[in-house]
Amino acid sequence: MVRIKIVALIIAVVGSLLYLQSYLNPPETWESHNKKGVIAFQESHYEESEKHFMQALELAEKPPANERRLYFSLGQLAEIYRIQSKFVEAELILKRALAMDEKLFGPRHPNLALNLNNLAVNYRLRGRYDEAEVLLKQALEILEESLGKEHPLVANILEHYAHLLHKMGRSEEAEKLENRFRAIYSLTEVENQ
Amino acid sequence: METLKLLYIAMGPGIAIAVFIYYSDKWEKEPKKLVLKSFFLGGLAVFPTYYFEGMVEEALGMRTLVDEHSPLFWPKTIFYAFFGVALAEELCKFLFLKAFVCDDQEFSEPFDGIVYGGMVGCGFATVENIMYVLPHGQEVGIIRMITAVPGHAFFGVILGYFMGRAKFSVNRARHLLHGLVVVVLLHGIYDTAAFSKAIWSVYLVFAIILLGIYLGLKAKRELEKLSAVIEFSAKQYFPLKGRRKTVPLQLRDIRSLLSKGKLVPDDNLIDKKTGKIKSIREIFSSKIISQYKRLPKTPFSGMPVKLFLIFYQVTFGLYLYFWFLGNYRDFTSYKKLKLNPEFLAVGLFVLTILPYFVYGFFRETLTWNGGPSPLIDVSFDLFMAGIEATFLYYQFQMFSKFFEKKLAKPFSVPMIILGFFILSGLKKVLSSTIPFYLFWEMILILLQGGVLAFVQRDLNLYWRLENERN
Repeated sequence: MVRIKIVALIIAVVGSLLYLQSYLNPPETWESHNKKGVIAFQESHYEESEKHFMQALELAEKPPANERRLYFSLGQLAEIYRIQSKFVEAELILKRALAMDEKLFGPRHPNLALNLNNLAVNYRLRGRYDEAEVLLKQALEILEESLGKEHPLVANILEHYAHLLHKMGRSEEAEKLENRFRAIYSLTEVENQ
Repeated sequence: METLKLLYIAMGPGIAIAVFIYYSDKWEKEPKKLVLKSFFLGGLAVFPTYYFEGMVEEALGMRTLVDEHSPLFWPKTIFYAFFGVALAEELCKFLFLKAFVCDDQEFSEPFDGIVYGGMVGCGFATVENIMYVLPHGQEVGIIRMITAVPGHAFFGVILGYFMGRAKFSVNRARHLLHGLVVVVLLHGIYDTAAFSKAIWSVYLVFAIILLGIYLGLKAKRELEKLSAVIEFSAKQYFPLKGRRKTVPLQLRDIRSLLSKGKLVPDDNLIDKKTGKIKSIREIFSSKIISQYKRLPKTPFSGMPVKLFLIFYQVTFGLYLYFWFLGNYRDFTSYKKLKLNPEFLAVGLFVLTILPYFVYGFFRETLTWNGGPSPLIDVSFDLFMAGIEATFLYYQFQMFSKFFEKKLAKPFSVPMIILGFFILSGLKKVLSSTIPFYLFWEMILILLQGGVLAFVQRDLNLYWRLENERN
């Protein structure tokens, strides 16, 4: 009987203290890390923001895997690496995001095109122009097919592509693309008026 | 003000059931200190179990289970419901009851298990309800008032029933295990339905709650009979120690000596008539219930009108169900009527609660000329008030048959029923959007209780006259 009393007493005291501790310091969740990461980002505390986005990614990777969360976290982390010019880290993350794009949305989805563009920008900033061009061509093809040739996102890719071509010394080709994206932008402006 | 209102909604139902259980102990009231201790122990049990549940929830990844198409939805939900929640909560209640209450000398007859088990259940329900209602609001409070709160309270009563029987039985372990298995099964099925998010689960939740209430009331009734046998049995025993063969003890004397610590359940006594030696465990075992039919009629003491009004008010009128049941029980027991009080009380509960869910379902799915008409809503509310009034009408008709021979001026059944129907209808029709809604609601409950207080006054008078006659 004494043994039962001791067990019950330990459960009551230890259990209540542990509950109290978890109530006062709730365990971090994927949502809480994301929230803190966004706040730190808005306050330009990029290192802190990166830390929270990384922890959110780790939580999203834990089984049972939640692919939507994982995908979202990869996007957040890629952006914070880009801001900090951490191109090598960003490349790894973007490649993971591209693999998930294909798996989650299929090979012809605009999301895939946008991440191809992001990786292309990463390569351009690192002087890997040829690799960047391949990616931009692929992104352009997907967007033109899925959203139409006069969509503002197509114009955005064209702008990046033109910028790349200037860097590569192919100014004539770049000017053609510049004319195209300017035409789309002016069309969009007219539509918005 | 809002927090106070929510606190009131959260605490009212648990305290109401606790009061009902406390006053069910007719022959030897349990000390308030131990009753309160049991209630607080039940409340304390919430914290370790919640911590454990949080760990299991995290380990199983329960938050990621969006719907039943999520991978491993059913195995995880069932495992979490039975082992993460039901077993943890019931085992903790059981352990606290066993460790801190069961061996107390005041636990002096099997029925005390109902009181202390019920208190642990009500304490748990009350604290858990506060934790749910304060952050989630009034709607959650109202749903839990008729589901989780009576569920925990009556699971506690069932657990207490088995603990009471175990304390006064030679097969203690069997009774304890039996009790734990029954409550974990009921609780586990309830939680599986509640966590499943399926449409049918609402019906299963209600079915389990009703089954829990029914079994709890049945268990309470059985031990009430046993308690009455202990109070009125003419059997006499001599203790083997102390006042050996000098003063014969009746069963109620043995109970009294147990509560004073002068005897313990393992003590042996000699049957004055047969000379057989038996332990108190054997003497107080459920076998003696068979003597109940041979007991003299025992009238009841009634209930002070002021106390009735307070209970009615603090429980938002929910006390009506317990009062209705108690009245039927008193009369069926005293007058040996062939009625089933539990069935009638559960019938009142079902027919005054379930139609709201059915109506809510049709209200959302069907449209009358472009939308539900306020006239149909009002008609439905009045219909529900009519159901309540009908149940009370038949009970009051029964009272009036007995009262007319005893009381000079018994209450008028049609007047009381009409008054109750009007106030109940107004209470149901009252829109929650009007200014000072809670104030008007409380006023209507007070008036409703006031109407029923006339009946309670006559009941008290009737039982007093019966006592004088005996």
